[in-house]
Amino acid sequence: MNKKNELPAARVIVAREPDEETIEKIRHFVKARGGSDIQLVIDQNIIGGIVIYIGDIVYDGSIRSRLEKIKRSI
Amino acid sequence: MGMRFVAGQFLANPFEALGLEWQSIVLHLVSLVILTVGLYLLLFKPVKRMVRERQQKIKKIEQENADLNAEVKKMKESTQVVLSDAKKEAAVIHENAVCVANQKADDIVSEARRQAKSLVERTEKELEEERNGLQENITKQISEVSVTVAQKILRRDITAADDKKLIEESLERWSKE
Repeated sequence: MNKKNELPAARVIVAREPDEETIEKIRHFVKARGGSDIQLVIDQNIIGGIVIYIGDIVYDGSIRSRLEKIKRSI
Repeated sequence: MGMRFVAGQFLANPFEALGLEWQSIVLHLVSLVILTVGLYLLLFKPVKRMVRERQQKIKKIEQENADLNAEVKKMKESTQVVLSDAKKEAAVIHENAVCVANQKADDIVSEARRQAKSLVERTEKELEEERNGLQENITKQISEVSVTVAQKILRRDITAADDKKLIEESLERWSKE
């Protein structure tokens, strides 16, 4: 059950299963931004890096998005 | 003596001497007058009238001829004037036609030049647009191919350590924002 004013679990997309240390860092980051917990999703389409959805906010640090930026800039 | 008698008788009564009676002479004179009057009335007068009428007719014909000649002359002069005017008018019309034709020719040439220029400009613009489109398309294809190649290389070569580093860098960057 979420606390009052707390957002639902953040959706975290990664290309491969991260180690515990990384997961903790992710969880810490999410909690610092009001998220309750994380829901880990493995999607190799992002190639590498991480994408985090906390409510309506999206943090996109995936290699796919970087390549898309490069493609657009070309 | 005899001759003297005859001459004296002749001088005393010449008509009698010639075997003529005065009644006969008067009768002849009357006949002559009647004949003369008759001839005058029946022959001379009609002939004279006929001659006069003929003269009048000839005069009339001559007058008509003169009038006709005058009219013909007038018509000739009029025809000359009309012909001259027609020639002048024809010359003016020809001149105007030449001017109009020249103007039209100039207009046609100008229009053709304008159209040719417009066509060249439009073609150049289309070529430029096509060139730009092709360049854009090529650039897009190159970028797509490059990104696809990069994706394949990264998918193949990126290690768990690299991925971890990327994640940590992202988290660190977002924490500072």
